[in-house]
Amino acid sequence: MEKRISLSELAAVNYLDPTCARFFVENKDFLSLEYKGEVYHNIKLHRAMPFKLPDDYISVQDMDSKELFLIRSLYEFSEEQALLMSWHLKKRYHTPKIIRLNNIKEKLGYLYFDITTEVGPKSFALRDATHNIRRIDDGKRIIIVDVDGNRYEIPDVSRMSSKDFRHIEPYLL
Amino acid sequence: MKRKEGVRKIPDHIAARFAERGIDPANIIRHVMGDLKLDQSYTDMVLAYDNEKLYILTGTETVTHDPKRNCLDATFEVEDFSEINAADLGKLTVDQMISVGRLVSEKDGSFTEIADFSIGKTSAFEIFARNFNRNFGTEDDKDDGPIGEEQELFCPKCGTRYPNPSRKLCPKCTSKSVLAFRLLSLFKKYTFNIIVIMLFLLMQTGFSILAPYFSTALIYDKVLADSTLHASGQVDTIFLGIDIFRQIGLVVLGLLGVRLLSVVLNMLRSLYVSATVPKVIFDMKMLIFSAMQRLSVGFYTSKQTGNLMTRVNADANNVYNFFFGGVPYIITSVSTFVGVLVVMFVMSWKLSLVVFISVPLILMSYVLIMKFMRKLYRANWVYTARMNSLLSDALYGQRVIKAFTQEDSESERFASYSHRVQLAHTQLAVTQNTVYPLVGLIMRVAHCILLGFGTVLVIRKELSVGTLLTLSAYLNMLFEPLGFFANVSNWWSSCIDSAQRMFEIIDAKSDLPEAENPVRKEVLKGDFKAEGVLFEYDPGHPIVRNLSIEVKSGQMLGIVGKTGAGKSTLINLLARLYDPNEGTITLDGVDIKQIATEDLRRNIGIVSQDIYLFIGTIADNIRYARPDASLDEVIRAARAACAHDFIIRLPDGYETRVGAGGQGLSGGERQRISIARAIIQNPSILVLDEATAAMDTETERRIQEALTALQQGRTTIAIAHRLSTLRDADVLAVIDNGRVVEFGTHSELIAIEDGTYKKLYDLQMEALKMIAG
Repeated sequence: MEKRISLSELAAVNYLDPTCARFFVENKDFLSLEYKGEVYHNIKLHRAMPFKLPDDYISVQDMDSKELFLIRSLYEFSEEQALLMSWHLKKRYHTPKIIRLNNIKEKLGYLYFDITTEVGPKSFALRDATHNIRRIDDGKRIIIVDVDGNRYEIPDVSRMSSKDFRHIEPYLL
Repeated sequence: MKRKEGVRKIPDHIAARFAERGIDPANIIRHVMGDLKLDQSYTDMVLAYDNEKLYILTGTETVTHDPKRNCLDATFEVEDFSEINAADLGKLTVDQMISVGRLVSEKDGSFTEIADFSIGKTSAFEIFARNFNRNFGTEDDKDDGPIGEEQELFCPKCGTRYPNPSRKLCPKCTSKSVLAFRLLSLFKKYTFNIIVIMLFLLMQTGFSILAPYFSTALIYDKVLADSTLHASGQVDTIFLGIDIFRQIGLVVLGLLGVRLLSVVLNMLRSLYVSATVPKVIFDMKMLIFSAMQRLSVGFYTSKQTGNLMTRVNADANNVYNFFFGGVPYIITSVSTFVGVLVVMFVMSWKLSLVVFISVPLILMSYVLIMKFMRKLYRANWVYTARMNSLLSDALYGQRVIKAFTQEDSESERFASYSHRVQLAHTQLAVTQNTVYPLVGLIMRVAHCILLGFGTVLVIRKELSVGTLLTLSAYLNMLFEPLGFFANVSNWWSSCIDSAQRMFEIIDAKSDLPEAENPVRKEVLKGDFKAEGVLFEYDPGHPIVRNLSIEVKSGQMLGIVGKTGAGKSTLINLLARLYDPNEGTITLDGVDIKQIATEDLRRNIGIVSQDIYLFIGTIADNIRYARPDASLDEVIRAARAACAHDFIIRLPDGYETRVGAGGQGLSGGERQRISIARAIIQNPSILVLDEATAAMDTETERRIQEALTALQQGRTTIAIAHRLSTLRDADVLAVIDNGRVVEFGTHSELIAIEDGTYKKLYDLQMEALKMIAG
């Protein structure tokens, strides 16, 4: 009987070999990659599972968002390289952590948030709380997406002050 | 170089900060407001340029709303200032990341980050960058097409963020009282009906206040008091000067009369309301629906439109419910409350004062309960909505569920959602059954106080037994409206929310206004010309750019291009479902914006890849554009579209019902009906947007023959991936990235070495050879 082709043979994924790769920064803010003798300037890292597996399955893309390689996990790299990639990812996925929920007001179907984040105070509007207040994993981590697509994070809702929790509680379903 | 007309002026409080640094604000050509530092912490940032330099100002902008003047006062405290020579910068581009973007300068292959900003500001920064490149960039850096102006995101009066910047409706400044008056104006037509309903209600309230007096005070204090005197032989008749038994008879009759009148009034009111309400609902739904029909396709594809069906149904219901259910109820409750209170105080102010203390307590309890209950109602609503979505998902996806044998896992998923609904229901029911009896307890306590204190007053002869019992009956009537008062503000809020959404649609102006004096063209010849057309759905993202095409009457234009090249957008522009941002489209030499929309659409027949059949019979669907078409014409059109043969085999023939819940037709069959629909319209310009894509080769060939016959004497614009479909085209346009990259006849295009058309043609020929080989 003819051998059936396995899925891995059918579609090989171009995984990046951590032993041959070196990420480095150019012009202060642009990530580049040196891999098997080739240099890829101004590359982008893109998470395949941004909420559940932020450090695993990361796509390395060129300037036109075309995938060059796939990284299985940041933990396969040296600490220095992993930190560099984390810095780049943090910049791309700018999601400030909410320190304080000062107020939430509901007006004509929209929620108006007044918050203090780790990077400063912010006010924003939110549409459709059911879809845009997203509970991750066991429901403790909250991602809020405002009308513009900006993201904010509550790392652990159970550790919020009772006053802050009361503000958001009606929308945590 | 100076600021152009229409470009937003730099605000005074920021201009002053530039002036302090020796920069003349009048020379600033353009500015943009950012919100992030390069380390991505929040800041207020102004990026601006003049003829020489790019300036970056960061600091804190404080905007305060002056409610008296209803305007904003703003200050800008500078933390940091830097400037870069424009000549040192290269082409500015926006690098859009996931939830932020950055402005990047690219010079000689080297990149420099200039500024970071939140994703919502991408469009503003793109506009800024494109303008900068036009002023300072090389020829290669300048992209063609117009650059839109950035949208105003904040209300200029109070600084609140517009939830939807394309509709400048500020939730804070939208006055509820103005909305209320507008709402009332909607019901002007029904003033008489509302007055009649209110009169009925007021009379009913009057009788209900009167009833306890008959059933208690009159019996105890008059009739029974007289009977005691009568029994002791002191008097024959006292009350009304008549015999005691007649007195009893009269009181009973009076009570019966009051009750009877109350019932009759209630019946009359209900009948009157029942006759009026359907008319109101009809009017309101028609008002919204007609307003929706005026709006452009752009409105429907806009993300912010929300659930339009909810708007037609739920919002209209919310508003009429408030005016026909809520307002009369408010009037009854207020009049009952005030009436009973007055009567109680008149009868015994001491006793009334004692029990009145409980009223604020009960009211407060209700307010707290409502607040808590709202959370439970919301949870209940959300979980039920999720369960319904899952249900509809599972029903629509039955084929996939069965194909992958996922019935059990779907049942489990449904069970878990359903379980949440069950828990929410239980919690709601338990809470309702716990908290309301607690409020009832406060009422009972108040009642006991009334009876206890009242009895003391009766013993002291300060109060009669009848008055005490009447007051006891009135106390219950006093408590009844309190629950309603606690919830009236929510009811009002939801009515105003709905009204605001309704008015948003009613007030929305069509993006495609009809010309003031439209050119009437009963029949168009079909000369089509597009000149320098640019169109973008979002500012800074042109879909069609600098596009010029000309087709003579009776010619066939074939449009070729990759998916997303802008082919269908061109068709939408021709049918004036959208207007171009720049350039003109003319038919017979007249700008289509000037042609009466009715004439324009009648003369253009579109067979698109999106087929929609309305609920109704096949015949109704074919004669949709010409309802007066005879059955003979319908059959001819169906024959021409190769649809007759399958229609005639259906048990109900042309009377087969299609659309939602109707006969299931295949994609090819539905497409053939839509072709017949275009044929019967007899248009001057025929647009075929992948018209035969859903058909097998044999059917396609037959329809192609029908379409070829139909194309005689008509201007035809056809889009197709299969180049064989376009073999008869007089002229072909190859579109790539919104531009016409090649234009000419088949033989002209095939002659272009390395041409896009030639590549496509060769690829398809090879594929055909492979199949044949």
